[in-house]
Amino acid sequence: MPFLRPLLTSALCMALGAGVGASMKRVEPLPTSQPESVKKASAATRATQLLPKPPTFTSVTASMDWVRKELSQGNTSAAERLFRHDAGLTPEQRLALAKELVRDFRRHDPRTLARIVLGLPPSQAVDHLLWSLIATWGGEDVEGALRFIEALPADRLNTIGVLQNAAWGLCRLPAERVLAFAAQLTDKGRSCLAEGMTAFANQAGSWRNSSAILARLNTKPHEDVYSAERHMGQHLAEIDPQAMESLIAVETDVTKREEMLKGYAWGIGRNDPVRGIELNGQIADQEDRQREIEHDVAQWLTSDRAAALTWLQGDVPESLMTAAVRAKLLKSYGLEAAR
Amino acid sequence: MKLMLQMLLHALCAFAGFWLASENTFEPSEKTVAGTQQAKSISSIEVRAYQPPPQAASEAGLALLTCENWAEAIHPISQMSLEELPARLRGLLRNPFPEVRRRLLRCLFERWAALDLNGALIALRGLSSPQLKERALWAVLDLWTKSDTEAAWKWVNALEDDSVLQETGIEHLLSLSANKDPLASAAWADQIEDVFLREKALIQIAHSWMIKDANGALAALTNVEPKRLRDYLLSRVCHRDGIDHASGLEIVSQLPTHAERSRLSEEWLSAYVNDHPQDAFQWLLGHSDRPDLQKSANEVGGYLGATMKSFAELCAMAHQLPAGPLRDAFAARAAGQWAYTDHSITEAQDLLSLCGPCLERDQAQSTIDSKRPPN
Repeated sequence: MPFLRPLLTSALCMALGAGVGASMKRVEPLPTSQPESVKKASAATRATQLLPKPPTFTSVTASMDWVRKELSQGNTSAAERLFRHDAGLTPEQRLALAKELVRDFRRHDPRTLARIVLGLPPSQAVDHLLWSLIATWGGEDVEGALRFIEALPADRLNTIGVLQNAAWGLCRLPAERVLAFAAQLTDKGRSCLAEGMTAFANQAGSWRNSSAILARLNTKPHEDVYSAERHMGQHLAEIDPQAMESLIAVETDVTKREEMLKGYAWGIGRNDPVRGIELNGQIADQEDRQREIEHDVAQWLTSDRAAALTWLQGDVPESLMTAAVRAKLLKSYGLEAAR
Repeated sequence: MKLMLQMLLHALCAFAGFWLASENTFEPSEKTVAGTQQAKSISSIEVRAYQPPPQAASEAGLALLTCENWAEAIHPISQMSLEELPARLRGLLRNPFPEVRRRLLRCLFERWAALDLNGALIALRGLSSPQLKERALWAVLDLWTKSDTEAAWKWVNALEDDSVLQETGIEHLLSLSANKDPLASAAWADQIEDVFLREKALIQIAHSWMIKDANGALAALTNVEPKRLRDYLLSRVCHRDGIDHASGLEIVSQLPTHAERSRLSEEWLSAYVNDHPQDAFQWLLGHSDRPDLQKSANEVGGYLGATMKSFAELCAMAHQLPAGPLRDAFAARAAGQWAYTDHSITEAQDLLSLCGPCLERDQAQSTIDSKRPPN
């Protein structure tokens, strides 16, 4: 018993020391906030300091040649070294190089590419690059891509670019896994995901799997997102029009029905413009209906001018197209509406 | 004295705790590739420099291969014993490069299926990545169908608990059979109830056919059934190397509706002008009485406006087309592209003056205006 106290206090000191030691661990700061799935360990950062310094930038091609040479010698972090601040690249050069690296996806660890892209200053071009990376990565290795995107900040994650491109890979994963991921998305994010899952229904995964996911995503058309219903309308117009007409006939949700009609009308209208206009004419919302029909007629005018002008100059009901829109379209051809 | 000793002991303990906790400061928080390939500290990097790299086809070696040296493992994998394969698969799955995993997984499963088909099937179903599972299945099916296609179909059809894998299996089996008889495969695929699977299967068949014999597929187009296969081939075969575009356009011209002829001619002329710009223009000129080529004229004008060097030549081409929808579409798009590719705005405007009033002209005018320098 007399040894118990020093033993306890010694253990306490050791624990305190360990606490201090652990708190002094420092993670190297990264250029911008990066998901854990792509964060690089400080060891790697320090180790790369021993590796050859990249040559001064002369062109994207020369830098890519250097990266390939380094890769062939086993230096898998060469690409990232080009993006260190001491490499002296301008923002435009960094972006151009990042684009080339993403294009050369197959040679690189996708996590390295992700760190590079996320390290670039935010811009529309960088967003597009990120989406391209996600689409390629998801198509090759959806599990890795999913670990990356689910760690993105919410404002970047819940976007059509990220989620539609991710859907290219996600439609191959078991429904439970996708739904677990979807639980962290906003309503808009789930709509984006649903849109992507439907868009790729005829290309990847299986409809049995995708429809099981979609059924439990339980999304509604979102104003900023091209809807899943619209995609379905487009698909089935080409491959099973009767099935689509049945779906439209039984749909009780007005918004969903209208979206189905828009997609279906577009698909049918490609081969039969008049029928496409008729279908769009069934859209209940007047503004939507007239916008869709104006678009249909504009397309028709650029593929079969004579037939479209005849239709425009005929007896077009005001419910399909207002006189003002009709006059505007005819005016583009130096014509006037028949009175 | 005792007090001092106790203090010393406590200080020592505290230091030991500090050292233990901070010792792995350089330990990677996540096992990234770099993390596995690079040592845990600078000193260990130096030590590692003296260690021979693992053999390419060892478990550790497979995890370290890159796109530059993955091929070194092909031959050793092809010679491996069955007992070695599970460990090599584990090593390969740790490789961070999707391309390396994908390529070598194929070699590994080809070997596995050759040595133990059932074992390979069990192993591939144990993969968590759908894409790797797919690649492994393709490798196994390629081998299996050489000896027992019926058994392969039976196995794939029984994959009810993994519809994604099942469908990729069906598509692959159909693409293999399409190499021998595309029309029979298409007739079978056309009976598939699931419309999306049917569509994917027909697309696979079309791809197999086009890869094997694009001109053969083109020659057979007028008799191809089902219609979805014909439509898909019609829209894609034009992009294959060495295809006879003029023959394809002739087939398209026989389609029953204006809309179909218009849409598919546009696709074909887009491919034609990309490969042979002058020939494509001459073809268009020779058929300029056809109103269903309005969209095609737009496409050809766009390509030539973006790529031609001589403005005079571009204008002469527009002049050769008869006044009307085709010339309008050609001139408007060419003018828009001429401006868009940073040529003279005045020249673009001159070219646009060959175009009568139409939507295409309005669109081109917007493009030209957007390229004008601000006042």
